[in-house]
Amino acid sequence: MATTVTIGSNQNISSNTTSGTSGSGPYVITFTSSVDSKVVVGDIYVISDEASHFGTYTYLVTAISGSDYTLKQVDDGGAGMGDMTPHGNFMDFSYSQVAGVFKRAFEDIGDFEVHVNLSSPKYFGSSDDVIGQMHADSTFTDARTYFDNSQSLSSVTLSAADGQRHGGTDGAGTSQVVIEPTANAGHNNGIIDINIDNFILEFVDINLDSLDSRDTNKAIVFRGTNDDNVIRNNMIHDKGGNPGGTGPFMMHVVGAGASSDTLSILNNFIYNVVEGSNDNVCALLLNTWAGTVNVYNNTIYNMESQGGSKVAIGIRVATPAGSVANVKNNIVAGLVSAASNGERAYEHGQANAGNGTFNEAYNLSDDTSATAYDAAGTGSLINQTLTDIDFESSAVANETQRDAVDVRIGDDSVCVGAGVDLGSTNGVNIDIAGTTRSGDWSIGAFHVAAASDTGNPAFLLFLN
Amino acid sequence: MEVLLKVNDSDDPNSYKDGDIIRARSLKEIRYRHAQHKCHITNFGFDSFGNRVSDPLLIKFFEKTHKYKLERLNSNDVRKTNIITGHQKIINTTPDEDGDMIHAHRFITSALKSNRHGIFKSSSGQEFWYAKTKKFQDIDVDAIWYDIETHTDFLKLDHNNSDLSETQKRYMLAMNCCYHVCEDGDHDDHDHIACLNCTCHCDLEECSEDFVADKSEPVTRVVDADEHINEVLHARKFQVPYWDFSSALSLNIDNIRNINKYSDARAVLAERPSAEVLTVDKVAAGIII
Repeated sequence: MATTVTIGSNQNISSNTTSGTSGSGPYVITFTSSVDSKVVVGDIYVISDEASHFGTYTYLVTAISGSDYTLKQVDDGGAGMGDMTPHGNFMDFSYSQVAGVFKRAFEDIGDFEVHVNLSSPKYFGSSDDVIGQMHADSTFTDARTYFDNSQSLSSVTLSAADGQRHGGTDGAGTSQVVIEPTANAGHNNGIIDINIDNFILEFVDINLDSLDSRDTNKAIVFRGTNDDNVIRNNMIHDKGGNPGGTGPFMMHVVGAGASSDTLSILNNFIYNVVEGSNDNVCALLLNTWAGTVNVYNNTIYNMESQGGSKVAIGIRVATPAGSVANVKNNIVAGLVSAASNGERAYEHGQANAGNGTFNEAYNLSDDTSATAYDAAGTGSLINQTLTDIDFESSAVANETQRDAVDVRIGDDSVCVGAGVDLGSTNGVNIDIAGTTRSGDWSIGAFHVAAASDTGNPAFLLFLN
Repeated sequence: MEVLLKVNDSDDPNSYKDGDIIRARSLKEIRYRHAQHKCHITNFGFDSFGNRVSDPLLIKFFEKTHKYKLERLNSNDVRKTNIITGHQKIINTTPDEDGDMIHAHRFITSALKSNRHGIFKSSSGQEFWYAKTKKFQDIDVDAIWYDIETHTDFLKLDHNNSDLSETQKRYMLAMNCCYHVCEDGDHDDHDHIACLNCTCHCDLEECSEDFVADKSEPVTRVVDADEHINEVLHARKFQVPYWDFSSALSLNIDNIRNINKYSDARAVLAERPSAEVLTVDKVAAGIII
């Protein structure tokens, strides 16, 4: 069973008094006044009795139909009164129905994670597919959330709410769902640190711009078996400064996985990762993964290492024998390294010494990549220029220019129509802006329909 | 600084322990979060053309939280102003020497499809909007609250605490603290920088961002230096042994540990206990090895 619970800082969305009830748990409730339109499925309704049993009850909003709100009791606060409707049972001192308050179920990601870790959670069943739906009430500033134990839950998803997704450009935390930490994650830990199977992170803008003076150097860390983890449609960007003894790695596998485990990294933007002092940089450091990793449709741009021997890596995979890395439809561009052969767009284990299977095709590397690490395989494009790739904005010489980076591709990009159709498993066909790919796929996370897929403009013009 | 503590050990023996600091927030961060609520874009409506209403509070909020203002001049050109430096330039579909460019019509058309868009229209009828949020450390939250107090009845001093969720009130304990700087001569019985809840005259100061920054870190050890791999030994390095402060801070420990009861140990600004005394480094204290 899938259960959606909301995550957001708005703990006082709407105060409303019930006017009617039907059903016997869950209850279909009407109210005496309009409920704020910000209230959605997954929010909670909290109401306290002031006259008799003094209980505070919590109800989960499970459906909304017009002015009918379906409320499921999830917590009686220890009152022991059993399952009862919020209408007619909660009175003030004059024995009139009291108002209850709609709130987000959880205040931040850490609050949600603590509840996921409970053996007997209140707001969802112990074996549910739980969807933590993030709302852009304010910027999420969680420095590090460690999903270490999901008890017996079937799956855990952390997702941005519809209408509050980034669309492929960075933005404010009140316009779209943004995680922008301000405190340390602890060096070599992830802002999202995952040690559970069946986990999905999607449509979140992870902005590291306020961490220049902090020790955080990793956005996402895979710490265990991580079987069927899917990281899709996220933006990860703007890491600067010197985080410490290890450089910035935006996604890093530190657990081994097992040969039967599958990890999927799909349709993400990773850009503007600039090391400040003598360290490597890497967008996707996945080489210790022993299972199958699918790296599809990602766009990686402007990865700058610092120091004479330090390398800049786009994607490193497939070190262990028996591991399988499927790497297709990715863009890796804008690598900067002072080391010889230090610009490594696609790396098969450290320095191409991997023993796993590396299935690569339809990838793009630009003219910054060292030849040994260029894209390879069927349909791949190498030595492309930024003009060929046609990002919306790609200048990176200083912070002002990096501020304007926009790695969505334009109509004239060589990436348009140059990718391969990878089906629809795990939503791989949904591009970073939420658009379903059609026709010939573009390489990279942002899909632009090829002219051949949109009709003949000249002919249409003639008809007009 | 406000801290949210785990109450009772977690069900998972490898996760949080009783008293662990799950989350630490500076006063600035708390006030900024409230300011984002007050100035939330969805609080402000649209004009008859679908542009966001140019409410003075919202415009001031955007000016203080973004780096750039962009103003459409004609069908192709956009004036881009760096709000911090005042530097201006004109950009359009042709990349300038910095590679900066914009398809104004395409951008505005796309943005207007979202009900959270920030496209405004000036008195002269041209669209303008803001881009790229400032780093948190560069945002003047006090100045934002000055604007909020000017345009609304909300007061900054009423927004010194986070709004807690139901689960935070039941499964966690919120406390707050600050620096105590005691320089009077009437407190010989305690340390000159650290007192818990003293009666002498202390200067109370908000904890620095750096002090707050490491309070929710885990304890780890390196297991493979070549691969930069570490292992999490303990979910948190810092704790507040709140049970030890039951007398000094008048805490009812039984109530705090009862998940059916709300708990909140936050004090008003003038009565906040010392951060140095309250927060304990479990490694340095030998609680974990």
